[in-house]
Amino acid sequence: MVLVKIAAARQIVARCCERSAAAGVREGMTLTHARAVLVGTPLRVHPYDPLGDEAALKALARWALRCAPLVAPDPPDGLLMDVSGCRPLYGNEQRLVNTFADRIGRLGFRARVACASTFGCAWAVARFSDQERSVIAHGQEHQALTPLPIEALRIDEDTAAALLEVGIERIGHLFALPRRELVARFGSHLLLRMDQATGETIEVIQPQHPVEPPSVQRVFDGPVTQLEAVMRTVRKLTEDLAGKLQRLESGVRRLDIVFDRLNVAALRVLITLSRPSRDVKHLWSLLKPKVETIHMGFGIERIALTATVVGRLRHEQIEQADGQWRSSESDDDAPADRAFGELIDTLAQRLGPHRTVCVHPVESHLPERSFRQHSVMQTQRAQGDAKQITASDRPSILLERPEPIDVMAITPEGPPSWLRWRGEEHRIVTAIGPERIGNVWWSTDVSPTCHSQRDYFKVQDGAGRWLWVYREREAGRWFAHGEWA
Amino acid sequence: MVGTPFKMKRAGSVTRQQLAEMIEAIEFRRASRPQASVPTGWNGTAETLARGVIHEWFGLTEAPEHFNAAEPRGNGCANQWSPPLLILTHLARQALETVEKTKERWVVWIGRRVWPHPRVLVRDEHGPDRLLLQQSLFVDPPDEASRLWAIDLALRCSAVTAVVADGSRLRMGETRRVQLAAEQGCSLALLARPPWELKQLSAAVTRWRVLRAPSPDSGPRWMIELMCCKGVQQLAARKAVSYSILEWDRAKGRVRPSAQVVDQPDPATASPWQVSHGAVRRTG
Repeated sequence: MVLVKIAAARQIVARCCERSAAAGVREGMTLTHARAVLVGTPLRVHPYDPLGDEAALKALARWALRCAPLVAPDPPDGLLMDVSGCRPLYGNEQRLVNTFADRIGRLGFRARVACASTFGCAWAVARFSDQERSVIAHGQEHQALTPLPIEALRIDEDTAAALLEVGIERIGHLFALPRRELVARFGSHLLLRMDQATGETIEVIQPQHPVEPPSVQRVFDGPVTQLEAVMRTVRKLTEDLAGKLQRLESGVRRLDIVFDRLNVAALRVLITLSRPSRDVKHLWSLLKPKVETIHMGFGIERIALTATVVGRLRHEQIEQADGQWRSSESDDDAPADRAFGELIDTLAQRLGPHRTVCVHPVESHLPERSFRQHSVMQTQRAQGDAKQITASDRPSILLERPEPIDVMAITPEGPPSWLRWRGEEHRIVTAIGPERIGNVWWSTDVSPTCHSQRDYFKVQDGAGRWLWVYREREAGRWFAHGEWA
Repeated sequence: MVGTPFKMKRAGSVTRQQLAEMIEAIEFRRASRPQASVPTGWNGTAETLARGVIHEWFGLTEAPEHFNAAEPRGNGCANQWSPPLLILTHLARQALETVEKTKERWVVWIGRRVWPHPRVLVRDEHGPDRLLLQQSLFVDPPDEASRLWAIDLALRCSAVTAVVADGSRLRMGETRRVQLAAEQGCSLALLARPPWELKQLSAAVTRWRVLRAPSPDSGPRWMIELMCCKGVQQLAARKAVSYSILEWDRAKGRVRPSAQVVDQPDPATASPWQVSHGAVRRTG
């Protein structure tokens, strides 16, 4: 699998998997070159998404907070963890390294882990050492760094090229040179990186701070079996949570409600919103149908609401009217975007997210594959996939499946002069075409319709009905595929 | 019933003048607020369609002499009707383009039957114009109750500019509910209905029948007929023209009045209408 980016109208390999790399694919190579290198091997190509990768790395850093108190993402593919004081929890550093590597391996990542007294040394050993899991004892930094290449010092490409030009290939070569001359020829940044790796200079990281999701809960004195009491409590908790979110200037995107029941497993209800919201009325309109139908078992002992995913919301002014404090944004003049967010939340909650969709163009010449439906919950991300659309004429109604038709044509490969579709006979008075749409020979899709060439005709019958019909070139069968209505 | 003519933050803030207007609106069965309208771009026929009211468009059929609108043909024909999607798409685009660009504006398509192929929502007049596609939300209700609920909900949303919905099998009471929702939201409500429901009662302000017309060009052509137009303010939409011939302009992604009319009816056939310059006028 390779990830490609577009540069100067060329598809460039931005990342590649281990198998591709082993076969000779390199970053910066064109996709055509990579296909040629991997000839005979099925290759999966996906667009490179650096922003998505960065967000995923931050999420992984937050996950790693369970192993170390301070974790910082190190783009594009690293994590820096400060494990000071963690040794008593694991016994020794080697066990700490093994535990972390095993845990992250269970997430599906193959990680190279190194533990050292400096971030620079750990970074270098993790990436350039022969071993996947390494522990460098305090005071052994020089010894560990000496055989490593100079790229392990986190220096820029120009400096590395300049060093290689004068024959300095290993970090040990740098240690043998006078520092003053290094500064004069290669700049102070090289010395800074050397000192950070050896511990002569302190390196500060910018860790991810653990954020407790806003949460409210109510513990009852005893199990409650009255639905009305449960509903009033959930409503009150929703108001409390909205107050917390207002102080944080945030809105909830995903709301997790847990009902702890007596002698029965806890019941969990999940609400997902398309846009951040802290409007109690809206949240309650989504929660109420769910709460009304919960099974309370032998009684509910505790209710907890947690905003597991939140998003920023703009600040609201609070004004006083009629002796009561209220938000300046009343229901009547609510912003339209908020109103639309509430609309799609309500629709998706009742009908399901797959029944409330947006459509985005996809780069495909096959009419049935030229667009893709996305749930409204994914709209923000999917809008970036818009591609150029061809100026071809397409019908307003495209049938979900092409329907077989009976056709009479004057010439074997000519347009139809008569056809029968859905039991009705149509005498064709106008035919435009053919428009040939080729097969997708490169696709691994097993759908037979994708592997046949089609000759499309736009035909009009005597009553003025315009249909889109095609003939499969190999089998000679005719199908109706759409209508201009 | 006209619906709520004013939106007020608090019930106590109604002035006497507003109260008088509300009573007058209820007594004379008209909207006290002049509704904004959507230009259709069709000169010579309905030049504007009012927002905040229902406009029903009856699905495509053949020419009137070949069509019996009383009953669907056969048992399996309930699903075999085609909503006039190109006309509805044109009207939705007109509604979207006449709203202030600073506002959030969406078009909601309710019912899989009225989902047009997305390619139709993209214009190539001056490069690809995807505004309508990007601002479209497609809803697929599983049953008729959910469909009515979704139409009601979408029409009441202030961010929705136009709602295009499958209006088949809607009864009179349900169309009243939709009409009240449309009045509250002030969006353009377009309902597509099968041709055999033409005789059913409805609260729609205008009802249009769409007939296929033979075309000498490379695109479809229709004859639209204004079957019903209620209310005083909507009378301007009629302009004494009941029929018009429209055609699809693929390059501009619009439906326009036909430049030339073909197959003029023979006077000997005693047809009640005559054709001139794209508009068909009733003579008898």
